[in-house]
Amino acid sequence: MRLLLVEDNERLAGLMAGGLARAGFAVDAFGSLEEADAAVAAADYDLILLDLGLPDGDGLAWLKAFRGRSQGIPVLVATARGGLGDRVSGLDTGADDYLVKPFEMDELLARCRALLRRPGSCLATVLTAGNVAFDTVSRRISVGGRAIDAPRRELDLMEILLRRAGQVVTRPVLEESLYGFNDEVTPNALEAHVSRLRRRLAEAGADAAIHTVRGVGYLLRAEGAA
Amino acid sequence: MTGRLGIGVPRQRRSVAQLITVRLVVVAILVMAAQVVLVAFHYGLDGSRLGLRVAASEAERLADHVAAGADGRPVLDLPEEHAARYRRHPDAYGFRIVDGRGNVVAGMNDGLFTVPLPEPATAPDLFWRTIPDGTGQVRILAQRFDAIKPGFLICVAIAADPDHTAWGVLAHEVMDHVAIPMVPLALLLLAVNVFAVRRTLLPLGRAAGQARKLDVRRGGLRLDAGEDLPREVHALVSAVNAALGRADEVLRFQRDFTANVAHELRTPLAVLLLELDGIGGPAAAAAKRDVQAMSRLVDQLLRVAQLEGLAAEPPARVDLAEVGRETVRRLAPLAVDQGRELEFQDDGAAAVAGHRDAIAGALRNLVENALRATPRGTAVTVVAGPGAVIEVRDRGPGIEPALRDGLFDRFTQGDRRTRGAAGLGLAIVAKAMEIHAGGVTVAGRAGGGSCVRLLFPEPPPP
Repeated sequence: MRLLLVEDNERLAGLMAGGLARAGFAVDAFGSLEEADAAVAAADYDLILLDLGLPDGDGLAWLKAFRGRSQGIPVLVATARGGLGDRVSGLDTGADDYLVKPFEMDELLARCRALLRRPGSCLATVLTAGNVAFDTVSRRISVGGRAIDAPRRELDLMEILLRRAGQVVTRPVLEESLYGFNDEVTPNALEAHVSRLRRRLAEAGADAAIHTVRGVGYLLRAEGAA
Repeated sequence: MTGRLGIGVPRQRRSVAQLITVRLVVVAILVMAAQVVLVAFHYGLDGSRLGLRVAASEAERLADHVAAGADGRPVLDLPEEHAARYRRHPDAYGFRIVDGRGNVVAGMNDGLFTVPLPEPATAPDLFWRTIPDGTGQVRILAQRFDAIKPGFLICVAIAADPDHTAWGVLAHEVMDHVAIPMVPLALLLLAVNVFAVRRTLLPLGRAAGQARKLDVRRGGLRLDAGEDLPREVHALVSAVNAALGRADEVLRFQRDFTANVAHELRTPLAVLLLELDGIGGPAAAAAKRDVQAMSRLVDQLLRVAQLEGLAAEPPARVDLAEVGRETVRRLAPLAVDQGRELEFQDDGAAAVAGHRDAIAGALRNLVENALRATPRGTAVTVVAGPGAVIEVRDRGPGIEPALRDGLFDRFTQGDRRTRGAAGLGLAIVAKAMEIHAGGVTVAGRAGGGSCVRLLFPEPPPP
C-alpha cells in the first residue's frame, strides 16, 4: 500500500509517516501542493492524506482539481478545521473521509484501513474484528481460524457489521441490505438474525461481540479494543 | 443577558408630556393671576368705576324682582334677606323705584338720595353722580328699564359698603374677563400639547421597543432610523446604532480570535499526541491523558466560538428525533468501550426551528457527562419528545436539588470558579439553549439518577 502524505508541518508529517510506515504502509511525505502534483503524476498511490492549510494554497481547491483528473484514489483529509460546515464542504469536494486534528495514530490507521477496505478498493478480501474473520470472496466466517456455518442472511449481516466494525450500523441500513424490495420484513426478523449470529459467535469463542444500541441499531466491537 | 442594555424604562420616571403639561399649567395659572391683579388694579385706580358697577348690578337685581301687580301695574316683591340688608344698614344702602309717570313704586332708606333725581320722562339711560359727604361719598345711580315700562327708573344710593357687595362684583368681573376667556384656551393648549408631544415621541417609543428586543449577540442588528424620526430622536438612534456597530466588531473579533487560537492549537496538539505515542511508558501515558483533555478543551472552545456565530444565522427546521438518534449512533461506541449502554427512544418528538449543529453539540455534551456519571453496566437513555423536548437520563448519583437551580445559569454568566472543574461542557449546553430561546431543567429520576431536559419553544405551525 503506497500512501501520499501532504502536510506542511514537518514534525507532524514525520510522526505520521513513521506511524504509517510501522503499520506497513509505504509513505511519501510532501509539504506543498506543488510537490503533491508532481508526486501524483509520477507514481500510483492507493491513498492520499491531505492537510488543508498548505503554504502554497488551499487543500480543498487542490482536491477539487485533482478529482477532475482522478476519481479512483481515496482521499483522507486531516485538518485543524473542524466545523460542521468544513466537514460538509470537504466531503462535497471529494474527500472520502475527514479527520480533525489532533488525532491518535490508532485512529489514523483505522481510518486509512477503512478507506482502503471500501468496495471497489484494492484491499484484502478478509475482514476481521478480534479473532472473527470474514472472507468476502468465499463468504465464510471463521473464529480463531475455525470456520463456522451460518445461513445467507447471517453471512450478509456479518459482512456489513465487519465492514463498519466499531461503528453503529442503523436498523434501516441493515434491513435495506438484508432484504430485497419484495421481501416481507417482519418487525422481529432482524432481532432474530442478530441474536442467532450472536449466539453462534459466542459458542465459537469469538472475542468480538454484537452490541445492541436500542432505538438505533447494532455495533460490532472487538473486546479489549479501546 | 437580555435587557442589560439599560434601555428599559425605569418606573416612576415622568414622561415629557407630563413635564410639559405641568409647566404649561403653572404658566397658565401665573398668567391668570397676573390678569386678576390687572383687573383689581384697573378698578383700584378709579374707585368710582367699581362703584358704578356695584350700583348698576344692584339696580339689575332689583329689576329682577319687579313684576306686574294685581292691577297690572309694576310692583316690587323683594325677598326678605335682600330687604334685610337695607334695613340693617340704613346709612349705607338705599333705593327708590319710580314708574314712568313719576309715582314711587317702592323705596327704602330714601334719605340717602340727597340730590334731585332726573324726571322719568327725560331721564338719560344711565344717571350717575358721586356726591361728597362728610366722611366719604354717596354714589347715586338711576337707570332706565324701558323693558318693564317706558320711563321706568330704578335708583340706587350707596354711601358705604359694610356688606362688601363690591367683592362679589369684583369676583364677577374676574370671572367674566379672566376665567371665561382663559380657561378654555389653556385647556385647548394642554390638549394640543399632550397630543403633539405624544405624536413627536412615538418614533422614540418604537425605537425603544426595538432596542429592548435587540439581541446584541446576533450582531448586525440596527434600530430603524427612518425618515419620520425627529432630528433629536434620530441623533439618539444613530448613536445607538453606531454603538451597536462597535459591539458587533468586538464580538466578531472575539469570536474569530477564539476560533483562530483553537485552530492554531490543533496541529501542535496532534504533534504532541503522536510524539507521546512514540515515547511510550507510564509517564507518556499520563502526559497523553493531559493532551487529550486539552484537545477536548480546544474543541469546546471552538464550539463556543461557533455557537456565538450561529446565533447570527437564520434558523432551519431541526428534527429532534433525528438529532437524538444520530448523537446516540455516534457516541454508542464510546459508551460500549466504557462498559455502559446508550439507548435512544422516540416518544413523538417535534421538529423545532434552530441550528442542528448547536443542538447536537449540546446533546453530545450532556450524553458525555451522563456516561461519566452512570455506573458501569447501566444505560444512558436519550429520549426525544413528546413535543419540543429532548432529554438525557442516567443512573448516576444525581445532582443535589440545591445545585440544580442555576447550574446552567452559572455558566452563561461566566463564573470562573465553576468553569475550571467542569470544562466548557455545560457552558456549551447553556449557550446552545440560549440561542434557541429554550431552557434546561435538571430533575431527579425514580430509581436513582438524573434527567436533564432541553426544552425548545413550541415550533410554529407547519
